[in-house]
Amino acid sequence: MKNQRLAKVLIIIPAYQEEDNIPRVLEDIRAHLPEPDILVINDGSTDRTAARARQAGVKVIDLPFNLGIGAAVQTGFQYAAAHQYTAAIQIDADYQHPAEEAPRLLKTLEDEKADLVIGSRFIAPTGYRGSWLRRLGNLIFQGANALIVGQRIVDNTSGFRAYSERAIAILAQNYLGEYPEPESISYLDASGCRLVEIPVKMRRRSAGSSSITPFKSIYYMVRVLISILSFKKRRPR
Amino acid sequence: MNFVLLKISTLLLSLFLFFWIFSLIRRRRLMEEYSFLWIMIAGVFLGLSFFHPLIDRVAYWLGIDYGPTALFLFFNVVTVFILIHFSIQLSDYKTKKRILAQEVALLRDRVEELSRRTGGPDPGQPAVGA
Repeated sequence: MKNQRLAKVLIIIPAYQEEDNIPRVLEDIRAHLPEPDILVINDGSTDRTAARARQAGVKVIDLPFNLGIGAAVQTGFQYAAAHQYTAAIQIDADYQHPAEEAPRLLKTLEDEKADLVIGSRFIAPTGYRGSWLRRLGNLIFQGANALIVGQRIVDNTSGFRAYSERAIAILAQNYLGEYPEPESISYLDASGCRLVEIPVKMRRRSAGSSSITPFKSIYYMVRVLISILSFKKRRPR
Repeated sequence: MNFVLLKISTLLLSLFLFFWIFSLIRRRRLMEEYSFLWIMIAGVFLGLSFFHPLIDRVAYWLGIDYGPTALFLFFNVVTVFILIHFSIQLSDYKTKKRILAQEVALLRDRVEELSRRTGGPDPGQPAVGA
């Protein structure tokens, strides 16, 4: 018999201008996760992202204009909460996250009774290094989150994650900014959630370009830092 | 020193501000909420253009030697506060815009789902990017 925690799983894929990647991302997911429902949140793409996802036969929700990854993912949680999903996996639409690693995220969610399982690039040697700026940023987020969480999370910016029903409910209710990954860690921890980080392999980007360019990285870091350090004062919305 | 030219120019400027703001309100391009703010500012301009010694008095209190510098300081401070006020409003509108967009997207999905189930008309594709 299947565990209650994994009774109904939704795969949430926030996508913006990923027409080149979305078909193989969906193919990859179907090959390794045949059971769960797949939901693509099209974040106001002007290319054929939504059309290609529909062609592949998955559910697509179209935001009327670009809102940013934070709002796109939150829309996914709102959908999951409204449709009584008991768990969710977040996978990026840029083909960086190998779907073969996702079942392990789910298994950890179940075995460890976790509310958030983070797929980490850095926790063990997996061949991924990332740019020096990204590693520096992660180090800063580690410090900031460690201050608040009291548990060392290594890969704060990873968007390859599994969420429990409880985490889904919290994140559907609360918007955690335009770049939600680092902040959701401290927020979920403050909400009494159990966080677990496991090592995963990740691919390098090939098609399209990351939404975070080196030039924007510092701006991004400062914004997220302000956000993390002030999250307690934020009124839930 | 002759302040007549300065008086006339500030008077004209404040009269222009008043006239412009009233015409904006009349054409409903500006809400009363904002018009109040700008009328106040035009009023301050007008007042200062008539009571010029006031500037010098205030400047003296603040320890500023040159009167108009105090005027600059005053308007800079006011401008900063107005800008912060607008930033707060913008943040509020962005939040509301986000919530609306999310609701629209989820409701559209609901409508499509219901249409499919009941065999009703296709609500059509969303006007993304329009």
